[in-house]
Amino acid sequence: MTESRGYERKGRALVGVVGFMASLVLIWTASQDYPIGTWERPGAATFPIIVGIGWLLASALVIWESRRADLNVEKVELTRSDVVKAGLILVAFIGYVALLPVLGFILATAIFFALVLRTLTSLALWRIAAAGLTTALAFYGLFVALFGLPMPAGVLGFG
Amino acid sequence: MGAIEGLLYGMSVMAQPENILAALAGVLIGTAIGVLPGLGPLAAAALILPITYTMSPTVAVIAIASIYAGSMYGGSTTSVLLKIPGETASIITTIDGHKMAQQGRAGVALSIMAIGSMVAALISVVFVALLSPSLSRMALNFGAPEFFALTAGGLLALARVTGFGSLASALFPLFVGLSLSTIGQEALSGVFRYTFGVPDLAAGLDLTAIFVGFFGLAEVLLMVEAMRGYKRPPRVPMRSLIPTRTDLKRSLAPWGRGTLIGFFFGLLPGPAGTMASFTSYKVEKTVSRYRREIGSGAIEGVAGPEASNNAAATSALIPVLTLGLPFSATYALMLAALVVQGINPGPLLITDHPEIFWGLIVALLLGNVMLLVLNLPLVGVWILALRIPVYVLAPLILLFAVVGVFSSRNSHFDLWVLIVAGIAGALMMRLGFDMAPLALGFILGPIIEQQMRTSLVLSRGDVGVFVESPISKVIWAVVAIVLVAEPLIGRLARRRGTASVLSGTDVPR
Repeated sequence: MTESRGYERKGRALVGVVGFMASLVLIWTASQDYPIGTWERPGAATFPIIVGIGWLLASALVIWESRRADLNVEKVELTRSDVVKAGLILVAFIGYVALLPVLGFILATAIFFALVLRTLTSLALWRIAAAGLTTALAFYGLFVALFGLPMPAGVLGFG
Repeated sequence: MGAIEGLLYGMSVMAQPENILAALAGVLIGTAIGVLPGLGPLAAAALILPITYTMSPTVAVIAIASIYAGSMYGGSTTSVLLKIPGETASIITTIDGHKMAQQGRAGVALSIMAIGSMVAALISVVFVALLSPSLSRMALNFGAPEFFALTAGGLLALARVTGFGSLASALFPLFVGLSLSTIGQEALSGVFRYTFGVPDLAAGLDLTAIFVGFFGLAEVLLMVEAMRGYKRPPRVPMRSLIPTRTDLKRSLAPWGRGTLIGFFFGLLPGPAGTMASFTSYKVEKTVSRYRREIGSGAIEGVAGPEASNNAAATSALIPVLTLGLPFSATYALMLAALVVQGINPGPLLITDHPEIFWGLIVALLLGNVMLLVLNLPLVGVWILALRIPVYVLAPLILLFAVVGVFSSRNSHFDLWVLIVAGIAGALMMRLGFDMAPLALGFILGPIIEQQMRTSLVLSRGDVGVFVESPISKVIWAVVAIVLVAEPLIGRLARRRGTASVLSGTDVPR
């Protein structure tokens, strides 16, 4: 734990602002769209409104605390390459989830795994392709064939 | 059923091969995950949660509890060998444990840690078995206002004592969790809330997607960012694992004190294992005959904290099993595994599902023995887990998350929830928010709402009902004391420089 740096304080302030606005939406929607009821018979809006007010106050507290110079946020030294590495894996993962219903589990999984290896290592292409396919088939064999868990088949109708 | 009969019944439940297998697999998987820096008991339990849906409820709770015990042990192993705690409860072990490793006594530190953990867990399990049935009977007298006080007050107290010293860091995630729990069809009147015309939201946000996202995926993203390989761990020959008679003699009192401290902290809301291990260390530094050596590789600095965090992990089962109230995020996941399978945790669990309660008690006894017998000889194997390259480990965990979340409800929408929760979780963790209250808020939100509304209906709108009964009064008084006392104790601790013991420790998020 160490004294927070500028971007961490700004980040927390931003989270506070987002929370503040989301809590307003929560309260507004509940009060407009759901029955509030009475004290004797509280309606569906009562609890969300109470929670929304709590969230609103907590968000205000986050914003207020982010202005304090002695705010404790763990200092993690990251290089640009660390952040890029995590970002690339995240982008590949989002692409994987998007393509899963189209390509099916086996194909999408093989491509995702190969893509991550291609991005983060300097392995030969054939080894990357083999690793991708082996992983996809292993996951399919274990979870779909053995445990019987349902996974998307895709347009090709398998996997 | 009395404690002795119950334990015998639990043994017959544990004699089922699938239960033994679940305990064995749980401690092994838990240890492997616990060894990996950045992945702690919560991430381990979150990632395994979807798989438990295919198991019977008894097997599911045994698997999760064993994973919890295993990952606590794995986290402590890296504390000693590499000065890298696998989870926050092991932070304090790095101080003397790693000093012992540098002095060539890593094997002794690991043995004392494992034996102490087992002794503490076994004693605590016996206390849990003895106390739970009577507490459960007492809890049957609780009405809606008392349960409301326990759940809502417990969450407030939790938010006060966690949050890394900042109230907002715990309160904000708590209200995010509570807010997320209001999405979907409301149970009492059937109104659809915050679905915005999206049919996938009608049944609410999937618990698996939320947990695996906020804890599993978020932890993986942070692991990818920060993991750049670690120094080579020291070799631990089998012979070096045998402690001397002096080591054992010096460990006895710290084990005893640690067990008592841990058992007490486990009953309270908050990061019980962490608070227990820090308190135990402080107590050893104050009362031990060898207090001057603590901090420079003394066995007492390992024995006490390790016994206390394991005792806390075990006694934390009491509120879960007797009241259905998890005061830790990992046990909230265990509760979730039961709820998904249609089991209502609470005071009636012991009478309605004795196989789950007593099976779990005996599984914990067995699991801790397994940890000692299997893990010490396998310490070299666990260290190998640290050598798995992150580019292999990360995508494998992500694939595991996808399989688990998708198969939970057969819903592609849940995978998008997983991604959003993962990104939000990683950002919030990076910015110093404590995510445990989010998990508890999400699980306890519907219970709090139901108890609040039932209380008001029964009292015809009299809000005084929440503080009317003696039980409610006591609970709210305890909550008030925690809310007021915590900042004072924190200020005192900061003035005395307690935080300085952490200097130089590579603490994972």
